[in-house]
Amino acid sequence: MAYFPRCTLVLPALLLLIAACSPGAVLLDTESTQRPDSTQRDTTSVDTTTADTTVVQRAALALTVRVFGKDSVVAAAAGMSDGVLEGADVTIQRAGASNTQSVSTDSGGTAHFAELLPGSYSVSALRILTAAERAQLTGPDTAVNAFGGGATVEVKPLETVAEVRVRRSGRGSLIVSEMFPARWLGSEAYPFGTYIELYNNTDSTIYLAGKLFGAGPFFWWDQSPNGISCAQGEPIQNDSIGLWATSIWRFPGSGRQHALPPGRTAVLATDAIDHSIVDARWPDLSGADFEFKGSADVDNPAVPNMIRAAPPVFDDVLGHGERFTSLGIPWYVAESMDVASLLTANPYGNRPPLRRIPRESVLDVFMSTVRLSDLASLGVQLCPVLINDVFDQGPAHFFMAAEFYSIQRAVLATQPNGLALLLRTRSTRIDFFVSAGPSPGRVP
Amino acid sequence: MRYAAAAWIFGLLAAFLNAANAQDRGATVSGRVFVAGTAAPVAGVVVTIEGTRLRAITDRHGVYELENVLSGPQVLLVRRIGYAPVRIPLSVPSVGRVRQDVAMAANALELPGIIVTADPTGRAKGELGTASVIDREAIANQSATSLRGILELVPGVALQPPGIDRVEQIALRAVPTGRSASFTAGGPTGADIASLGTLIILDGVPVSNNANLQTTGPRGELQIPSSAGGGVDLRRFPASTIERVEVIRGVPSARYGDLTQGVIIVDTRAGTVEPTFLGRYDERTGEASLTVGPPLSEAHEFTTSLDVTRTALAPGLSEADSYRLTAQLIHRAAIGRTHAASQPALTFDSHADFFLVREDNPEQPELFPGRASFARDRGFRFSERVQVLLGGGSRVGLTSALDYVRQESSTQALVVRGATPFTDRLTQGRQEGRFVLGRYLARVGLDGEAWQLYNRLEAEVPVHALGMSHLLLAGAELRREWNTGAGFQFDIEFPPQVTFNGVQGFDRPRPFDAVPPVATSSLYIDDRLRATLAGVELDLQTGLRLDILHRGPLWFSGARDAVFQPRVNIQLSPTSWLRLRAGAGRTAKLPSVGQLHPAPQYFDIVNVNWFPPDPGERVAVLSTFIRDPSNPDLGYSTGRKLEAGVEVGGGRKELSLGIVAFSDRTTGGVGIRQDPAFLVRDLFDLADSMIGTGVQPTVVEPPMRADTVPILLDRLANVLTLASEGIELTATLPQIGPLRLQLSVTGSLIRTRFFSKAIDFGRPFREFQVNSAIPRSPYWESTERRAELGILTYRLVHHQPELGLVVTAVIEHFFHDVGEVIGGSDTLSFAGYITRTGDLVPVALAQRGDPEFADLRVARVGFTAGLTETPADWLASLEVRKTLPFDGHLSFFAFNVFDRLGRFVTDSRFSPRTFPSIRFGIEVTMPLGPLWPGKPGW
Repeated sequence: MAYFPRCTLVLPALLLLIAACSPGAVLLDTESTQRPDSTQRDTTSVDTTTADTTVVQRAALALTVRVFGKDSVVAAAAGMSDGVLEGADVTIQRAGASNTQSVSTDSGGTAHFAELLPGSYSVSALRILTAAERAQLTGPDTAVNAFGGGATVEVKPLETVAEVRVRRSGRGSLIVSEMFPARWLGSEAYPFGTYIELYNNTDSTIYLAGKLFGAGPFFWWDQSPNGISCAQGEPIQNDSIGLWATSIWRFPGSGRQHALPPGRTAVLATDAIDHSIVDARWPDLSGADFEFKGSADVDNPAVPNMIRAAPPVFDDVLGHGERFTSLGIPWYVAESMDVASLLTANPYGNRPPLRRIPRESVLDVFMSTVRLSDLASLGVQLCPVLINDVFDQGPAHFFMAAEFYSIQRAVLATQPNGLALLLRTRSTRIDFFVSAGPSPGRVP
Repeated sequence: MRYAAAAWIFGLLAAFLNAANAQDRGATVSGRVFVAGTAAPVAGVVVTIEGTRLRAITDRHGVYELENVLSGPQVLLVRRIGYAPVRIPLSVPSVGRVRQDVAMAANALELPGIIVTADPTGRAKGELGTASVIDREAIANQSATSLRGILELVPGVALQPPGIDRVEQIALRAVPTGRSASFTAGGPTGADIASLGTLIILDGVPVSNNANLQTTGPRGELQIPSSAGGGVDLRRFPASTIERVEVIRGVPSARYGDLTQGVIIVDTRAGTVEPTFLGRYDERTGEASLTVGPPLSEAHEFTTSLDVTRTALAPGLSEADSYRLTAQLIHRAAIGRTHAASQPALTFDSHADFFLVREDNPEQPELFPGRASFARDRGFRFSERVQVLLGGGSRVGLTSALDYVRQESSTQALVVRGATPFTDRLTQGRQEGRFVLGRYLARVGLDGEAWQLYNRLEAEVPVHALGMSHLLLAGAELRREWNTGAGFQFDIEFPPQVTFNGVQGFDRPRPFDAVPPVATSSLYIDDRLRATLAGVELDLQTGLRLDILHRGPLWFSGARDAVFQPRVNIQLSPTSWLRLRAGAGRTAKLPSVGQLHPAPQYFDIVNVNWFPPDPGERVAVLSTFIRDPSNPDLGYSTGRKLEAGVEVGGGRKELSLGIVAFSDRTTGGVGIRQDPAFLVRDLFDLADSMIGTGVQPTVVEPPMRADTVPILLDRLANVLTLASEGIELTATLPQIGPLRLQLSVTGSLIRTRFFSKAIDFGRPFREFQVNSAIPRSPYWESTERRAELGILTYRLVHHQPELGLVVTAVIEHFFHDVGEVIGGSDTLSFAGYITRTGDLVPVALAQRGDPEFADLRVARVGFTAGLTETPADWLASLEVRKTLPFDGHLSFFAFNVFDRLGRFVTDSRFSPRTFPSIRFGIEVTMPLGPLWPGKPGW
């Protein structure tokens, strides 16, 4: 538990972490967390997690994928009329279940699901524009390459009709391309081999010097009365003007230092050392691009250190700087700015304040939390809002306590120059998938 | 002052002996013993007055006579092998004669008032403070495997399934409060303080935990299962060999020292004992025990007992188990007879005890590779008690004992380390180190011996003057406790503890031969006065005790610390059925040997930390500093005990009720006081530090600069306070005759506070230690932990004499269970700050909001202040006991008979309560006298 400092504040976390953070407590169903493929079909409609033999009334679900406002104008320009998207891949997963179902929308923009068990379903929708469709776009809209979004739908017998709002998405610029959060060697914790990989998804060089990286607040279930409640956290979680940061690191250097050419990655390692010495599955990060240096940390002089730009809200308990987890923390990358001038708030009372990174400065956000199939066994209720959807339209459910895995962003296309164009719908749930192992410095 | 007191006490002792006079005092108690339901006399019955050495044996007419019985409430004990023992409360006048005939039953169940609980209004021998007296009958009905199980008859002690699963300790009149966040790893809990302050006397000789070797071990991740820092491990005392237990919860007489909480007096089975086999089995525990005391001669009694017990710790999951083997030889020689042949003039009691308690947790490669441990404690004890009976009921006794315990243990685990500089240097200085990284097997071993030499000289003189009866007692004790042996050992290449930058002081291997002995001496005087004033019986016990901790290893060295301990208990009995009682006193507890002589702390400060990818280019330079954390001011912790109560009734066959309110406060408990200090860290330039050349850079001397590294020295000091107050209830209701049903109730409601005077430097100190850019770091006052626990235990006994059946149902009701952590956590709660040179600067509350202290107004994390409640719940156990031929017994017991697993409340204000699951078992007690060769007539 000590390795999840954000968990230690609150008593409810103890109950959850006993179940979620101890090795072997959560079973991995890797396939269920793969990025949904439009060809993937669940032909049985049987929920294997339900052992109840009593007859349960089944339900049908009709989900219409819609665009609104400016998004509908762009969709119309691409040839999709009436504000609905034909050919969108809609994937659903019931809370507590491990399997997913995917269906494409019909000409009315509706995906039909049948024989569903009632319950709460996580929904994601992705419509990738074809080259022909993109060719019809003009001006700044030519950057749009997909529409994506997500929602949570309560399915009730006999039929539920709902809409999924999707937004246009472009390629972004500096984006998160991989997170390696594994931290258990059998029964022993080794949280020092984690990293986050950033990717230049543009056609021009990005200079990392001065840019910001860090974490947002960790509150994704109600922690009252001893911690922050959903209601208390909502103003921060649902703030569309800015993202509230609990830790802020600055890339070293200034000006045009630390150039990241198009299609290249930058690995931000907790410890930039060869972790394969500890366990062969772990990566050699001695060639990482940056490392986080804490108070109890060896220093690889070959790797520049990230610089703390503000006092962290939560302690660096182990003294290794930043350790990455896929459990309920939004990770962001942002443009350079004067941190001292940022708006502050103090929802945790006696800790250093959170600071708001303005929305327009936020380049990318990665947000994942506990697996849907583990929710029921944890006995807690996720807060209705995890993070404002302007930053992440659909946080993923990738966290697996004791498993060895990595989380990677999907490739949308390979460009003529051979560089990968990564998918970025601003929905972690859609853009990322779970891979078997880390691949620092490489995109799929 | 000290020597004056000693002279005074010894002078008084001599005066007592000279003052012994032969004139008759007290009353005479006599009567006839016969078989219940008939008039047939019973010869050879031993009749005694409980708590005294007055003893008589019935003649062939069943007649007995006891002279010089002191006035006041007394208890007549009547015993004869083959008959159920009888215990009769008496009210003895100052002079004259009391006749008390006694009916003895061949079968205990034929008695109408069978009681299988602690005597609700009993007294320990020679004691007036509140006590629970548990005799053999109650023990036999308790399904206990060790002393811990017997103590469940004491108010407020929770039920546990029988077994020797883990280290067992007892904390009298205190509620466990957990560990305060300000205590570092290895620091004692409130329960540790309470149990260490609970004195255990085995056959007249204290059992000490002061030299427990494992109190001198390394702090760190690998812990050895032991009673380190707490009381004696109760697993070493098998219940099957115990004759009687007295638990003095109130103010003990001055005779007892080295305690703050109370006294548990254990008498093992001795004298003429019919050979008896006891077997017990449940799904986890098996036990076999044999006790034999053949009647050798008039002058010699010889008793031996043997017990073997095994408990599977996780049946079906692992081979882990606990194992116990005990053996005891007791010899009594009675030379010469006085007073109508009732008491010998000279008595020699020789005891030889052996015990082995082993706990083995073998590796489970599939589940927890590398993790394993064992602990094996084995010991011998030889004690000799000589008693000389002088004229007029005076006596002089000399007790000597040598206690030896060998402790062997080992624990190992796979540990995973992030890259960390490390040095194995054992002396102060600087050297090139290496980097620890990865997973390895760390192992700690212990091999050593704990010794105790104990001597006591004591004299007792009855005096009668001015219509008042006095029983004067004076004595002196000499104790010496020490350690020997190889000590703590671990492979320095695979250390159990590694810390970055050496800011935490850890241990290195240490031989126990280097630990100096501890010598103590004590003097005490005690007077028990009985008188009748205006029709009110007065019982007054006053005493004074002086405990001296010597500077050197022997008793003639000077005093390092000394504590005077006045104690008084008073009881007024306006009627024969009502007693009003009160007591007050001071007690003292010696620090353990390991606390008085702690291991040195090693700090390994990193001077160079250069970790490029090529291992050949890496450089780690570390300076080792050794600091002695011993504290010359460390001395006794002291206890203040107050109690007042009322008792109604007093017999076993009638209503009896006792209610006692108490307030105990232990101050100066030994805990860790983190003393700030600083070390000078040299920082060096590196030459030839080009990365990728494969060349290790060289360290440029002299250092380019130096800075300071603040450290905290784990100095043991008298900083802990444990305060408890509460109320205890003991009641036995009259038997419901037609139903043969009797109910007894014990209960307690206790509130305990546990806090430290030490400073809490909190989490920010870690960063402050290694970051020289931080000029100061806040500190806080220690937090306080509180706990309140209310337990009521109902024991319902139903017996069917014609069927030889006793059914005992025990229901334990936890009606109140609250814990609270108190401590300031807001940004203004800091009490001051520490500088980089280790200076402490307090900041007044009014100034803490000033701009100059903005950097100190930070979070205080690491604990959660607040109230936590554990839901009320109950637990029931059942025992059915059936007589067998030859006075044997067969018992079936079911712990947690309804298999209640405890309540889990989802509200986060509540902590879950868990009970051990149901446990069925069977117990057989079989006297083997009829099978004994020659049948010596038990």
